[in-house]
Amino acid sequence: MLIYLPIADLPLNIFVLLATGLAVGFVSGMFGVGGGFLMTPLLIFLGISPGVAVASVSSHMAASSFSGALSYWRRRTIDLQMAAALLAGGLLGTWSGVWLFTTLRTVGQLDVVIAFSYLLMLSAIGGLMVSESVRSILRKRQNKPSVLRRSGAHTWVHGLPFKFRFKRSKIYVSVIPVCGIGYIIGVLGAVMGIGGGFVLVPMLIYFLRMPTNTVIGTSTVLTTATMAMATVMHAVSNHLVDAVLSVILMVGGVVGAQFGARTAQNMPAERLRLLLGLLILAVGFRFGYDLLTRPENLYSIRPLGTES
Amino acid sequence: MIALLRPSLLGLAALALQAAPVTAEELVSTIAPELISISSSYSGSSVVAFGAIQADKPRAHPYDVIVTVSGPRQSVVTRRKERIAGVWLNKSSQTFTDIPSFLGVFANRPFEDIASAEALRKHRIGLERALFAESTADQSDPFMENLIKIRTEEKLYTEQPKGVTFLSPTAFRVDIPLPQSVLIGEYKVEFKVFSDGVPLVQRVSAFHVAKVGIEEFVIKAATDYSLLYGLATTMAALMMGWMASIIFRKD
Repeated sequence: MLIYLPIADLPLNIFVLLATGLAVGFVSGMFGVGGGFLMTPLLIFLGISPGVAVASVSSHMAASSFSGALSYWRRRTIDLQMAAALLAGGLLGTWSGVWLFTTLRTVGQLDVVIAFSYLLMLSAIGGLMVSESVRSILRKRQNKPSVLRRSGAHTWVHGLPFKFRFKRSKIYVSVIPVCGIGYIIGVLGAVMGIGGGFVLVPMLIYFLRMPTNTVIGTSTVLTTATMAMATVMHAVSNHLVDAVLSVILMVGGVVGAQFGARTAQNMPAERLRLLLGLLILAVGFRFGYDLLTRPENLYSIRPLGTES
Repeated sequence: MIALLRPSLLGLAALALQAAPVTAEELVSTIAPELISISSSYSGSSVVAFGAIQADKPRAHPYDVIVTVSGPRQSVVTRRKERIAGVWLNKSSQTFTDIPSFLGVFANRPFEDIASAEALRKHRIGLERALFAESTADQSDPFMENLIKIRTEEKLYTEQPKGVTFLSPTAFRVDIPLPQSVLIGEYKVEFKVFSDGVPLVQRVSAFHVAKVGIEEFVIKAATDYSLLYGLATTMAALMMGWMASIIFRKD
């Protein structure tokens, strides 16, 4: 059954969209990630313009991170002080990201920048994940214990001024890197339509030495806020948020996430990470392929608003 | 469709009866429907225009009819990708202001058989002649050529040399196909009657396209009340997330 997406301005099969939502939801539930890095590319591959895909997925990401944030809240694994500091940077980052998005769109380079950012980010992260999980699978085969990082180890980040004690995470760290990380996630989210959880979580662990019990809950608070703000700002400055598309994706995504989470419980963690890494690499390569091969039609057109 | 056509045919007959005696050709026309509403299940449909030519004395040559339909105007940027350092990027671009968002040119036989090249150019008949004349583009501008190509693929621009059917030597009908992506607004229909390459009479009429249902509501909200629309979408997203966390609560 074809449904006409008003803002994307094209008819698509509603079952294809629901299936996309389900599949991405399944993956996101399985790996505990938001799934924006898969949803946005899939929509682009379905023929939706990158701008509409990014803007519409942000509302979908707000929904899935909010449902995550609520369940972490019930388990009391959210560091509100940390979340507030991240948000200060995150909201500024979202604002800059939407500004950048609008500017790139005016000069006609938005699509290429989105594709290029995805290529860089996905191949870097996918590559890291695959090599890291292959190493740990091999280590397990040889029956060597995995090396644990010392929890008290300090990095250069800990020498920065304006230190603050984050009570629930039990860390004492400068607010500068915290706001900085929030800012980066805000920009990435607004330009690429990703919650950024899979960039944010490693950053919080590596740079701030945040304990794993609060890191995921806290990151869902940040992504809920940045994605909600990105949705509003994309709607106001670019008119690209397709509410019909978002709602269909949300329904599929929410249901899919539950099945994904259940499947993941019966799978070893390394193999799960290897799978996710391969998936990320595949999506990244697809962007690279599209950038490097000659497009079928060199010309594209875009209306500049109607004067009737 | 039949039910729609019958009253318009009767109307046409009434118009023909009322017409005063003529010294040369006169043209009466009617369009059905005059207001076309597009809903979410719409997958393209068509508007039908009828016309009748009235003459005081018969001509030696048969009549030819050319119908040009043009939709609401908009400005369009055409961009061209070029290879830069191995990557295909949008490089050069050209803006065309105030060109029709929909353009259909219909005739009863190939334009070149109806009138001379000079007459066709003068009356801007055919997609390329109409668009090149309206914009500053010169005859071989690749940006305009590709704009026409893309719009033709989207069925927004169409040229049908056999789109006009004569029902009798003086009465004709033309089916104007409209794809789903047509803009709302007024569509101008221009009838031109030729005989033996000579333009005899022309007439301009119009129909309207409106969009109804959820998608028109969404488009209107997104453009006219964008802040409210953004807030509502976000609220809906948060509600959905909240509901999901309750329904699938594990603890």
